[in-house]
Amino acid sequence: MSDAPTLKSVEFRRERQASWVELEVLVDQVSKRGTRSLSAEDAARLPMLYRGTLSALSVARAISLDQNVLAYLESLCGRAYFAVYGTKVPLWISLRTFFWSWLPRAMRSIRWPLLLAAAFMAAGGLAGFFLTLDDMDRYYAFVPSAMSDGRNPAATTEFLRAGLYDQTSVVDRLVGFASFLFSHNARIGMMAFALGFAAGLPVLYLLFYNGLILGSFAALYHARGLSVDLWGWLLPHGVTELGAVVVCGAAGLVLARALMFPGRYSRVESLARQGRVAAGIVAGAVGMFFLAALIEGIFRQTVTDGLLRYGLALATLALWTLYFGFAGRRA
Amino acid sequence: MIRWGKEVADLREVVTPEGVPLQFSLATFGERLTAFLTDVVLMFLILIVIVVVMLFSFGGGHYLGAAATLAMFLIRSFYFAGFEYAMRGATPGKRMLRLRVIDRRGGTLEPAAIFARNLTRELEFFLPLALMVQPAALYPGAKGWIGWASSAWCFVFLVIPAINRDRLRVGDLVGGTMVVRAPRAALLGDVADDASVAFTFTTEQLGHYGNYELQVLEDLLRKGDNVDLDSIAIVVEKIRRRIDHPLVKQGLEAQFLRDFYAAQRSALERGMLFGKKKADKNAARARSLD
Repeated sequence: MSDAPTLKSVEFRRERQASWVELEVLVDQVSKRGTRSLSAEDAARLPMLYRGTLSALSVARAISLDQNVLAYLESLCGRAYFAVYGTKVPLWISLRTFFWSWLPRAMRSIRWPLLLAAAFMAAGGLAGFFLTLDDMDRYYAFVPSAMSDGRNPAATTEFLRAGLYDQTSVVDRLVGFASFLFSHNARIGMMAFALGFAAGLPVLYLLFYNGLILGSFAALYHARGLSVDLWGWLLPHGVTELGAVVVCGAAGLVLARALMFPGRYSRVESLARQGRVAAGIVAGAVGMFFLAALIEGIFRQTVTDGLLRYGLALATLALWTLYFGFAGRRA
Repeated sequence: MIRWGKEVADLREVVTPEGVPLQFSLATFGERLTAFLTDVVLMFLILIVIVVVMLFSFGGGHYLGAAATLAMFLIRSFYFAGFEYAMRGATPGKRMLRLRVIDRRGGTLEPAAIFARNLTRELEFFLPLALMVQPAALYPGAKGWIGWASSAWCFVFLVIPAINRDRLRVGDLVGGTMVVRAPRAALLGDVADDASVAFTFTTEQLGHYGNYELQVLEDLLRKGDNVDLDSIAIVVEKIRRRIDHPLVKQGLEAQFLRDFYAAQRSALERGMLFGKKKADKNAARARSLD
């Protein structure tokens, strides 16, 4: 019997394995109880241990043929990588930078898709308006009966007018109404984004169809001489809500553009780049929908003064223009 | 091709910001489907619990309707994104199956990427489902078959992960992510770390085998006592003949294998340091001829 010279890889492992086990314990803790459960000392040690183990992995790949060590290091480094590079920014910081500078900047960067989306909705609106004015029966073809809720060409002018200044509903109902509106609209908006992956045509259809309904609706009230009253009823929340629809549509178009005209990137890469921007914009639009629903559910049914209604509409318009046009320019 | 099982290890390399390539094996279609269905069931359970709790605290009425609508929307839209953000790339379903979402280029998993990859679930899952039940959502008076046709068209997106190389869902394409396995491997003892050595081998004797055979031997040794003596004897005999080693005394077979493993690994690792890799015995033979 004799003592053989120790293998380099065996020696290497003996020296390092204590730190691997230490990393494993930390990674287990993070995956069970989250990054916050780490003590300050451990939180500082985690990235150090991770880098050390990562370099051990590259050394082991070069010098060791111990399959178990390689498999172990590979899996440990992978799990430590999730712990270190899974999302790392605290939520409120990412929210602040998101709203303060990222969102307005991203919005300015997609001004052409925004314009296209707005143009399609406007075209739908004009088509709906004039087609319905021409023949009131078309109203039934454009506006789903569930949405019109009795407000159709067969209704009396008094009924239509009363709907615009309806104050009878109690607060209970308003809250329910607002929450329904918000979830309904936000879902449509998210859908408009997702449909962008289907090459964008459904997005344009959705925008156009949305405009069609609106235009047809406007035509009905216009024919009864209620135009001013209708817009006063619609615009206070409509500026924000229609804006959000256009924004979602534009995000869908960005996605479609990335898919169809990837430029110098591969299609997959172009999608990944643009997709994140577009998704962030949709997240902003969800916030807009929320505000719109609040205005719609609470303000609209309680304030019936025409001037005040138009005043609020103008104020929201000014606010969005300022925010998207100028916020985050300096940082 | 659709891969359901666990046996296929499809490796993808991701370069970490430190510049070290890490290998991950892709999650299979079956695993991801299982994780997804688990999450959907969990989503419904959460919703039911919320509604029941509200029912008892508000006692019905309009507030209940409002809160339930809002809860439904929030859960449907943010269940996946919320969990993937909070649990570093895993929903409860993914966690159960030890799956993770990672950035395809190896960077930090950004919140925007998480949001993007989950927004498209509207298109992939909820929209076709809704259209099937209610085709009129498309436009007033839409016939049932139109709903079915649009659903079928949307389900095309659902099978995209089954037909592309990296098993990317539409959401993965849009978010620049992919879903991989994060298995745990245990650190076992080193088979070559053994003080007593009874057999020594010449350089020539160690020139017959390559890395592959070494791995097979490592697996055999790690099984330890679970391997019956007969098969050990057979392996010893095979090796002994090939490397032209005198007969091994009965009772010393296991020791012989351990020593041979250590010596062989030492020889191959030394070769590696000098840039000579031997994949298996055929490569070893080819090298000894030149």
